[in-house]
Order: sequence, then C-alpha cells, then structure tokens
Amino acid sequence: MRKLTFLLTCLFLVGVGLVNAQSKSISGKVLSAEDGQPIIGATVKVKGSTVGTITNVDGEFKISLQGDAKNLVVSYVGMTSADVLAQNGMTVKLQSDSKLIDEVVVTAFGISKSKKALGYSVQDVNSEKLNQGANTSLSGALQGKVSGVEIMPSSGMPGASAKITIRGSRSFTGNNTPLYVIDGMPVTSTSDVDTQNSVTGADYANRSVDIDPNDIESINILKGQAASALYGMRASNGVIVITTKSGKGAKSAKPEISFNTNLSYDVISILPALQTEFAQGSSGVYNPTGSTSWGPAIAELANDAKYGGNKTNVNTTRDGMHTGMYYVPQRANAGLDPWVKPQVYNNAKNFFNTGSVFSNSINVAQSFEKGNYSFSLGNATSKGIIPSTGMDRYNVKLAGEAKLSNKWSTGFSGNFVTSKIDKQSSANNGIVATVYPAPPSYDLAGIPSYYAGDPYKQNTYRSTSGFDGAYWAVNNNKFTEQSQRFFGNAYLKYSTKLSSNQKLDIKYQLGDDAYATNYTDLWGYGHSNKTGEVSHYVYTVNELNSLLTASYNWEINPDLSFDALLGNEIVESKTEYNYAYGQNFNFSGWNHIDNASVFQASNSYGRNRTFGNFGSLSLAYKNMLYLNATGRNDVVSSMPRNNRSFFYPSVSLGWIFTELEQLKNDVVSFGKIRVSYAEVGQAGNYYETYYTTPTFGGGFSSGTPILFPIGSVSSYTLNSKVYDPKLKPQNTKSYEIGADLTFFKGLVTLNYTYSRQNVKDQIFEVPLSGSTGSTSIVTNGGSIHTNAHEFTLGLNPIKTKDIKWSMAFNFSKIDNYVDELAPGVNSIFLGGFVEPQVRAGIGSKFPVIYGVSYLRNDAGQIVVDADGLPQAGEEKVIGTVSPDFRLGFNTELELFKFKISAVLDWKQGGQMYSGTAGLLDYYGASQRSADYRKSTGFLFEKPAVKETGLDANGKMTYATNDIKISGADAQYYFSTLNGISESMIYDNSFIKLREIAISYPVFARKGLSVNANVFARNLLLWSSIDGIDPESTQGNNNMAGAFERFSMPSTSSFGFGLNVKF
Amino acid sequence: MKKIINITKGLLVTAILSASLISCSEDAMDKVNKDLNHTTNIQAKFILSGVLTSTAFNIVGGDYSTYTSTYVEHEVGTDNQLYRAEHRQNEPSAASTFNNVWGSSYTALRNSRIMIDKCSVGGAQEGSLITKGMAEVMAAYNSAIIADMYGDAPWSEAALVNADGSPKFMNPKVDSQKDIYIGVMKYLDDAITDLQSTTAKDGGASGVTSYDLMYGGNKALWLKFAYGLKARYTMRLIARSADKPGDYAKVLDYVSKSFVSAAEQASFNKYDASNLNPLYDFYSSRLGLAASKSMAEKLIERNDPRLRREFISGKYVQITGVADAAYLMAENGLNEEKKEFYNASIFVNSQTAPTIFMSYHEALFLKAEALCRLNRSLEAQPVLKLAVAAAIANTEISVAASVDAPNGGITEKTSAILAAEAASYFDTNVLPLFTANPLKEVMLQKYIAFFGANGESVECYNDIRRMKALGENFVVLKNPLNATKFPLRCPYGTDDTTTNPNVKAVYGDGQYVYTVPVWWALGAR
Repeated sequence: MRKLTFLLTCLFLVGVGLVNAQSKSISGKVLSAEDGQPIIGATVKVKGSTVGTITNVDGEFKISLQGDAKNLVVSYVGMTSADVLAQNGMTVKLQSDSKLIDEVVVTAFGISKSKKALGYSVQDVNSEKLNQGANTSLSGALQGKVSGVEIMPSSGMPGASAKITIRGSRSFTGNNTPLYVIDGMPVTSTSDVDTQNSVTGADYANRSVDIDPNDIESINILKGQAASALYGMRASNGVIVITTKSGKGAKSAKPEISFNTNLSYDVISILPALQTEFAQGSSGVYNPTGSTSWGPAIAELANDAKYGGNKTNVNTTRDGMHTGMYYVPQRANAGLDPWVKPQVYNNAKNFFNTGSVFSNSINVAQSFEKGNYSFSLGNATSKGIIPSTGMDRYNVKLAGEAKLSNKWSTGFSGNFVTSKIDKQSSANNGIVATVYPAPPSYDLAGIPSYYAGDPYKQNTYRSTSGFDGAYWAVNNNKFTEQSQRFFGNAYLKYSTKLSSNQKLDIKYQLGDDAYATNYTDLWGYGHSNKTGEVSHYVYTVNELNSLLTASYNWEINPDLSFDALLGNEIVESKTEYNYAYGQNFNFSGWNHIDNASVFQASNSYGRNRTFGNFGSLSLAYKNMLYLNATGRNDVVSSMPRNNRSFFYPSVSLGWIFTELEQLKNDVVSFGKIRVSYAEVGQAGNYYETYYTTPTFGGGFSSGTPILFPIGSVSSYTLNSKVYDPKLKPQNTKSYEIGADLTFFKGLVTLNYTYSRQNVKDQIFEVPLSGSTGSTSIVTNGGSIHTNAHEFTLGLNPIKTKDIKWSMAFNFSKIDNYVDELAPGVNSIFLGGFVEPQVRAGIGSKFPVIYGVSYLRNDAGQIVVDADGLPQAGEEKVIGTVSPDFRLGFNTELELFKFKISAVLDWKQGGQMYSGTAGLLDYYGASQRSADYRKSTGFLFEKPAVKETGLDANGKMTYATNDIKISGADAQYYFSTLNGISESMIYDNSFIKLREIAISYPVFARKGLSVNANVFARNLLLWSSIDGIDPESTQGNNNMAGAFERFSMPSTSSFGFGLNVKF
Repeated sequence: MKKIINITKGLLVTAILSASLISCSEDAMDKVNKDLNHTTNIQAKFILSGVLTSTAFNIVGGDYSTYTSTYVEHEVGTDNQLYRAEHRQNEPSAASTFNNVWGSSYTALRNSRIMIDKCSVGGAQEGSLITKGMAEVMAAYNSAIIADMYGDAPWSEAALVNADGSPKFMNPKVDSQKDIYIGVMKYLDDAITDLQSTTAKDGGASGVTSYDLMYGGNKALWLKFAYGLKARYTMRLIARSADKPGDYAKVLDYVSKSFVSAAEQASFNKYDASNLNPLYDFYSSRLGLAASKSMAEKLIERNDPRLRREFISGKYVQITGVADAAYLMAENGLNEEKKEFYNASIFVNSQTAPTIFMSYHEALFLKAEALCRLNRSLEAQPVLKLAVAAAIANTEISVAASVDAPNGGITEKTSAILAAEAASYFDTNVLPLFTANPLKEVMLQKYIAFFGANGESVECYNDIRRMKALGENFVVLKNPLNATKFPLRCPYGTDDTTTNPNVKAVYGDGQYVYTVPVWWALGAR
C-alpha cells in the first residue's frame, strides 16, 4: 500500500514549490516508525511558510530555513503528520495513521483522492493480490476479488474472451463493458469482432488481452456512474483504472531489477461422464458411420450381422471369418487392417493435451532526484489443451518522468504489445462436437483422420457434412489473431502556487492507442466434404486522445478546502477494415487464398470524434464532510445532426461521522456514509439507411452458398438494418448510497453500497416485424433498471509478528430487469440458434433463454403423451441467466515467511442452456443415456401429468404421470427431449476454487531477494451440471455466460514461479 | 503572479485554438460521420438481380421447398429438423421453422415495391416501364407465395418503406388471403400493361439487360411469365370460383399466351460450382433428406422409367430399380432418424439444376387440367403427352446436373430417358390410366413432374391442398400421421409472432396449421 500511496503522493505533490532564499540549510531523513524504512516522497514544509520539499528515494531531504522559522511539518499520506523542531541531520519518524481507510486512490483523470473523501464506491486491487495466482489474463486474475463486478470467461483456451460488467448491463445489444484507463489514458478493451449468434466458428479475443497483469501496479475500479461521470459517455459502464509500474516505487538511487518467471501446466478441468458399454449405431444395431452410440453392446460387435467376424456376411465372405472381431470400414479407408477386436476407447481423454503457460517478465526501475523511469519486458507463451491452439504475447513498456524545473515537469509512457492467438472452432462446427460424442467403440485417436493416400479426405466415425473430424480439423483448419499494438502518452505539466494556500496545476496530455489485428479463418480443403474457404481480415484502429486539464486547490482555512477542475478531452478514432475471402480451393495441399476459385473483398473506413468539456468542484470540511459535483458536456460525431451535444451532471457527498467528537469511539473506529447521484449516457451509431450487397445462406447452409457478383452481375438491397434519424442518446440515471465502516482499529472493515440505475431510451436494434421487409431499426426504445447490493467484508483476525491472517468477502447481488422494450416488442435476440436463443425479455431479468418449452396444461403442469413422453409446447422464456448473487472469498495467511492465499468464488442461481449435456444424451454417448437404456423402465424426470380424458364439461382431466418408458425406448425418449430445448436448461450455480498459491522468500538480503511460489487455478468445482464447467460458454457479447454447446472447455492449471529482485 | 497568469492564459488560448481548429461544429461532425462505405441510392436493375436470386435460392428453392417436399412425400425428412417435420413433432407448427424464409419473402416483396416506386411517376427512374413490369411480376409472385404459405398475412401495410428507408408501418395489419390475391392479380395486370408499353424509357444505363438474371431483359418472355402466373393463380382460386367453367376458359386463354417451350420457362439458371442449387446446399450441409417410399411406389405403379433415374444410394451410386441390392426407401412418417442410411433422391446432388419459378410443363399441366375439368379430355390427351415429355426432359436435366456435378458427381448406372422412350412410356403406361380417369392421371403426372431439384414441391403442395378442397384424393399420401396432422399451411415467422401483435394474435399456439385450411382451400383464413 505504501508504494501506491507514495506514487500518488508524488503525482499530487510535485507542485509543492521550492523557494530559494538566503538562509540556513537543514538536511535530514524521514523514516517509518514501524519498520525503520525510509519514506520516499514525504512532504517537508517549513511551518508557517510556503517553503517545502519532498524526500528523495533514501528518505532524505534538504530545506532552507528563513528568518525565525524553527519548526518543520513532515507529512505523508497514510501517516500522522509530525510537527518537529528543525535540526541539521535530524531523523523524523512518522507513525502510521491507524485508520486504514485513509488510502489514496486514483479517480477519474488520474486525480488521486483520499479514499475517505469519496462520496461513491470504488474498490482497488493491488499487484500482489492480482498476480498471486500468476494468471496471464487480466480478467481471470480479477475474478472473485471485487464486488459488483461480474466476470464471465468463455473458456480456458489461450486468449479466450471474457465479458466484464460492472453493476449489470445498461444496454441490450450494445457495449456493457467498462472503460479501461491505463496510466491516465483510455484504451480499447473490447473485441473488434462480435461473435454475433455465437453458434459457429471460433471465439474472438477482447483487446484487454494485450494487458500484462505483471506490469500492473494497481487497479482501481470506479463502479458507479458518479465515480466515472467525468469521463462522460464512454464511462457509463464504469471504469477500470490501471496504474502500471512507473519506477516511482524504486527505493534507492540505483536501478531496481525484478524478474518474474512462471511455468504452469493446464489440463481439462472437467469431462462429462461418458458411457463405455454401447457401440456406435442406432436402435441396438451397429452402424459404422452413424453419429449416435445407440448400437449393440461393444462386446457383441463380433456378432453383428453385417460387420461381425463371427457371422457370414459381405465382409467375411470377402475376407474370411474373423472370430471375435468386427469390420471397421474407416480402418479400411485409412489403409489399416479393418478387422479388430471390439474394445473401449476413451476418446475424449485421449484428445486433449496437457497445455502449458510459460511467462517471464523483467522490470528495471530507477528513481532519481529529478525523475524516474521504468522499463519492462514481458512474454507469455501458452499452449492450449486442444492441439494447434495457443497464444504468444510480448509486452514492452518504457515510462519515465522528469522534473524540468520547479514548475515544469514532463513524462511519458509507451507500451508495445504483439500477440498471436491460435484458436479452434466451437459450438455447431466445433472441435469438441466430434470428440465428446465419439462412440466408445471407435478408435478416434488411433484411426487416421483421413483416407490413405489423400490427407484431405476426411475419415472419422460419422459423416462430416457441416462438421469436421476433430483430428482432421486441428491439422487442416486454422483460426488465428495476430495483433501489434502501441499505446502510450506524453504529458507536460505546469504547477504553481498562486498564493500560500492556492495551487494551480495545468496539464496537457496527448495519447495514442494504435493497433492492427489480422484475423484468419481458414477451413481447409476437405472441410465439410467441400473444398475449403479462407477469410483474412484486418482491423487497423488508431485512437488519438488529447486531454487538457487545469486543477485548482484552495485551502480556504484549516477547516475548509476547495478543489476545482476544468478540462477538455478530444477523442478521435479511425478504423479501417479490410476483408478478403476466397472459396473453393482449386486443388488440395495448398490452403491459400491465392488458390481459391471464388473471391470476395471488402473495405470500410470510419471515423468517430468525441469532444468533451468537463468540470468538477469539491468542498471538504474538517476531514468530515466532502461534497463533490461534476458536469460534462460531450459532442459526438456518431449521432444525427442537431442531436449530438449532451450534458451529464453528478453530485456526491461523503460524511465521516466518526469525526464528530460525540461519535468517536473504540468500536467503530471509522465510519462514513456516502450518497451520490449521476447521469451519464451512451451514444449510438447513426447512418443514413443504405444499400448493401445481399448475402445468402439459410439457417441450414454450412458455407456461403451464393456470392455476388454472379458472373459480373452485382446486386444491392436496402440494408436489413435501418436507422432512426431521431436517434438520441440513451440516459442512465443512477444513485447510490453506502457506508464504509472500520471496527476495532482495522480488525474488521465493512463496506456496503446499494445502487440503483434507471436506463431510459436505450439505443438498440429494435427487431422489426419480418413483414416490414427489414429486420431491425436502430432507435431509442425500452428501459432497464438495476438494483445492486455490494458488500465487502474484510477481517484481520490474527495479526502477530509471525502469523497474519486476513480474509475478505466480496458479495454482489445485481438484479438487472428489463422494464420495457420498443412498443410491440416483447423480447429481442442476443444470440443463439433459430431456437433456442438468448434474448432480453420484458419483466425478466436480463438476459433470458428463449426456446421450445414443454407442453403444459392450463395449470402449468407438463403434459406427457400416451407413451409417457414429454411434448413440445410453445416457444417462450425457458431460463433466466443472471444469478441471485455472487460471493468471492479471498484469504491470505502468513505463517512465518510462508504466505498462503486462496480465492473461492460462489455463484448462486441463474440458468444456462447446455446443448452438450442434452446432445450427449441424444447421441447415446453419456453415461446417463446408458443407464436409462439398461433400466427396465423409467419415468420422465420432471413432475408431469398425463391426460385421463374429458370431464362432463368437455374439459381435459389430468393425473400424475406414472407412464413408464421402457429402457428400449431410451433413444426415442432422448430424441424427443432433443426437440424440446427446455430439457437442456440447467441450474448454473457453482462454487469454484479459483486460486490457491503459496509463496516463500527463499532468499532475502539487502540487494537481492528471491521469492518462490507455487499455485493452482480452477482446482475444484462444484456445479449442478454434470461434467461441464458452467463458465465455458459461447459468445463474446451480451449473450456470454448463457449458452453452452460443445463450447471450448475450461482448464485447471498447476504451476510454480520465481520472483527475483536485485 | 502576473507571469503565471500570462503563461496560463497562453496555454488556454493555444488549447482553445487547437480545439476549434478540429472543431465540433455540426458540419465538421457531419463530415466525420459521413458513411463512406455505402451508397444510399441505387438503380432498380441492381435490386432486380438480388430479388431474382433471393426468390430463387431462399424462397422458391429454399426452406418452403425443403419442408413441403416432405409434406407432399417427394422426400422424407430423416435428420433433426426435417425428421421432426416428417414425424409432425414441433417443426410444422413452430414459429421459428419458417422464420428465415418469412423474412426473405417480405424482403423480396419490399425490394420489388421499391423498384416499382422508382420506376413510377415521381420516381427516380420514372418511365422505366419494362423494369417496372418485371418488378410487378416479382411483387405478384412473392405476394402469392406469402398468401399460399401463410393464408391471411400482412400485405397491404407490409414491406413498405419511407424515403429514409424506415418502414411505413411497424406492425403491419393482417390482410385476408382473398385480398392479397386481388392484389396479386392487380400486379400481374399492371405488369402485362407495362411490359407491352411502347413509350417505355428503359434503355441505356438504366436498362436491366444482364441484371435480369432470368431473361436477360427480354420483355416478351416476362410477358409470357406474367400470363403463365395468371393461369396458375386462376386455377389456384378455383375452389372459390363462382364461375368455374369461365375460369377454366381463362386458364386456357392465359396458357395460350404463355410459354411455348422449356426454353421460355421462368427459370433461374445461374448455379455453378460455388453458387449452389438450394436443395444441394441443404443436403450437403445437413444430409437431412431420404428417398420417399410413397414417391417410389407411384413410379412403380405406372412402371415409370424415371424410377431407375431418380434415386441414389448412400454411397452416391444410382439405384437401378427395386431389384437393386442397395434399394432402400424411407417409409414416410415411419422412418428412423438416420443420415445417409436410406436411399436419397438423385436431386440432392443436382448442384447446378436451375430453380424454376414456373415451368413449361406446369403450363401444359394447367392446360390439361382445365381441359379435363371442362370434360374435353380428348383435347387434353395430347397436351398431357407434351407435358409428360417436357417433364421427363426436365428431370433428365437435373439428373445430368447430379451426375456431372462440379463438386463431385454421383455414379450413373442407367441410361437417360430420351424422347422416344418418354413417348412410348406415355402410350403404354400413362394412356390407360388417363383413359380410366383423365383428371386423376393429369394430377398424378403433375405430381411426379414436380419431384426434383427445381423447387417445384411448393407448387405441388398448393395442388394437393387445392385438390383436398375440391374433395379430390388423386395423390394418395402415405404418412400415417396425416390422419390427424397434415400441415395445411406454414406457421407465421417468429419475427412477427414475437414483434407484431397483429400476427401474434392469429398465430396463437400454432396448432391451427393442422386444423384450418387456407382461404382458397375453403378454410376460414
């Protein structure tokens, strides 16, 4: 914490002037009373004058005394100020301020504020806590560590997307993710490419993948709109303020070098329970090319009429009897001996590799009298558990600051990141779609995935129309993302004292975030029995950020201080998109766009500008009452003419009631009540309705069946999406009320916040009645509200010299309700299939799963048919995605020199669609399907009724379902369930042991320290869906977390690392 | 102090100046937001090429045809959605089933109407009457499909846009099928007038030429197509006709002004290695169809040579007939859910077979039917012979497209049916059946002729429903589930059942598809 507070103090106090005068010079040293370490950056002022300085990296200071000045006031954030007699060679020891709450945090625009002065809720995570589990992904490293923040990873694949929302969603189909601000400059964190329906193809990483958690000094999360209002429109979803290592923390004048290395191994975290008894086939009959495993018992294969080696049939007539063996056509295709003994293969287990992550980072930091710098190099190389997947990332950063004179200072920070992600496809044409359901009788790993002599002709257990065999796919299909990125900024700052109690800082910062990401989606020659296709596309994005701020501080009198901020921000982004598509390779062996026989290309270029003016006013009274008001006006280019300028206010008040003499006590050592109100909006993207080239492909097509131009004939159609010229920004009004309490001098801390957001006039693509001829209109419509309760509870039950134990609970209950959609619209599509889908529905929590339900009677009971089978009913809401609550638990135990930490995460409630679970039953691959099949009879599992006839009024009467389905009909039963999506809705509660880590300082001397650590992630999972991690789902958009269907699996990681500092 | 203020002032002035240079004025922002990547205006011919392609690929040959081919037993659904449709599970009544094509139909209608507006008085291409006539034919065609598939449906308020591209009506009202048909006939009458215009100004750059992917801008053929459709739709409404003999005479009149050869038929013939016939696209993506037992039985009954031509095994080898070792038809409504297990129709691989909006043989069948219904069966006989010959020739085109296919052909085992064999088949096998019951054999031959890769199952489905309304059961369907669950129509699309209260109200739970025939089949709506 000290490091952080120091850093911030520096930022804030560089403005304290140095005044030269003829006088006596005093030098001295400031130390911490607690550990005797020098305090860097402490303010030393001559009492009763404007003369002051700050201590250097060794805690030393030099100051001139003028006239009859005798005393010095030495102060440092988080410590009690000391008023001491000035003596040359003096040593001042500062005592820690017992109130732990008195931390400094970075708020909007890098303004650091004492946490106690805030009228809204923020939460910070320091470097140590963030990196304890050595997660190379920022979103993964944050999980369970903050309240009010929901993090939904999509899988355990390297570079997998993750969706982060703070206090729920404000937009149905638009962006709900927070703004990332790194070292004072907003940077892009969202994905260029939306996974759209998210039921085919590979995932797309978020651009936050470029951030190396190792280089992060601290993260502060501005949760509510009042906290982020100064950032304007872009921050309506909250802000993640990241401060990277800058060198200010370097403790001595010589360079401090730290080196981190971690190696971990990934395994699949959980596998579905698959049956090992029944062979490929249907209705008990072996079928060597069927997709299902409803065949005979594996042991009986030799007796199969058509393929058994014990029977006379086409195959034995040709090859002779093969007692105890059976004929496998795919072995023949691959040029192997087609006759084998029936055997059970563990195809799923065999398929996955052990993945690995090897990450290294080195940081050199140095602090001088007039500046500091930090240089970091980082690399993370991952290999995924699915062959051919992985990620390689290199980060370089150089940051420095220099004091040019008493009043002028300058600094810069530059990051370069390059990454490459190798992915594979998921869901409908996904890799695991032909792994999990592979019949246990089929040797998926052993039989080559292609025909002998033709490596492009697929050979697997089932037909490959629309699917590819998994082993074939990893060798022939390629999905990559390659990115180069620079982001950084430089600033010039002028600080001056206007008088003894007034200070003015003017800062101009110019930043740039520029990147190009190259995507390739390649389906090799032979894909889906066709001749392949490839697309290459590039997003080149450049975002310039100009920021001018002037901040003014006036200590009106000892009890009252006033702060003001005025600023202007101009953000201009340019996005160029180039797309090339080739289809139908002329010949095999060269999967390259130059070998395609059909081509299509596209280009687009767009600009976006935001012009924001903002201001903030703060009043602080007696360290007790803090009032803050902000206003911001944004003019955005992406809205219709004369509808571009918007103003957003916020106001907040914090009252530290324990500052009142009457309320000071030993139980509640600190108590604050805070309340705030804010308005902030989101802009939409408006265009004149335009014509576009029509695209083809029904819901059944596996490729692009028709491509314009046909010959040389092109075509255009009015775009299916139209724009409302009366578009206005959506508005979020939010208020929050909360309290921060510290009991028994820090033994227990408790923070609670209730917030309410009302979002009106949402901008979204309102689905249109298909009969209009268009599919959607971008307009304002609908509202959503969120009630959020956030608790953080910190306990420090043991705090002795050798044993320290602390724990924290982060509880969030976020209820996000859709109040209204556009007139006539009851629900809107977010992703999924023709059915089931993820939707937003009126009156429901956001989002819901919509699809074919069970047929029910008027009383709402499920009605089975005469055979005891459930029936398909109407399409409606069949599941609610959002959980009742989430609870993260962090604990840290220091035993002598051992430090043990753990993070546990509990999600309670919410549902998801698990296509995998349902399909494995349908395919007869699951253990459940085998158990049902072997049973003498079973009842449909859910409470249901059967029809018993008509009563006197002609109304149907019902009785409890007692119609047993025979085991022999299990296949038909699961086929029926497969047509009813509601049967694949599962409770999505889980408890996960996310991280457990032990670290030990192997060697610690002056000048060299070596720390060793071991860690494991995602070690344990308790969930109600058998064999599937509820966090492996489809989509990088607002449907994330709701929909699972042969999704990429999650992983468990085990590793160790070293941290060397010298 | 003064110096400080000066510097501050200087900084502020610089900042304000630089800010106003890049500016946030409305004009500057308009410039920033200018959509450089799209056009907001386009000539009608560019719309026409898309309407034709969409009508062929999505509408005529797409999901309507895929599903109705299982209802009329041209094919058997054997996997997933099509299996469930075959077994009358959720699909035939679910709003999601036809949602994609529901949208496509209205988009095609909208685009046709945009073209008409462009070429009408006050439009950007005022006076382009030939283009307008073509657009009117396509508007009529897509309106009729909407009416045929869904019965009462949004129409008069549907598919209409304002100048800014937004819909005129967000929730179009539901019109009666009868009213839609009045509109269809009006469109065709207007088209017939416009296509014969002598003052049309469609020449030069605005002429459709190659953008007319069907006829290359030949207005005379469009006129024949318009008359053909008049014949088709007049016959369609016959159960509701107050003057049946008069209407049959009209059918004969319209047919006489329509196609005189297969070369003139309304056919979308642009498929190749990468632009795929929709049936092939479906089958190669999903493998969801199998050979229909009841279809084969009808061929066996009349010892039809097409039996040896029209089916293939799971290994893509032609089935030579019942005696073929690999002969295995899927039993309608009783088949198992298995892909590539049963035989399939040869047409699933007809990669380049055209989609036919209206065929020459259909015109002949309409003529033969009208003559039979007027009790002029002697005159009908040579017409039927021509029709059967044309149908067989058409079948052979699709068979050839399946054998000689750019993305892998089937193994052909038998020889093509040439004109002589077709004639002798008619004389030997068809004529006795025709003599016994002329109308029945006309309808059965039409049913057989519509089996293929050209998207004609939809029109076959219309015929079957029309005959049901007339109390005729010439084409016996074998799916036992038809006893209670023959789909009498398609359910409305989800995009309207969820968004448009007018449609939501008439959709209900969708079970009406089994109980309420469409208006022209004497149903209520």
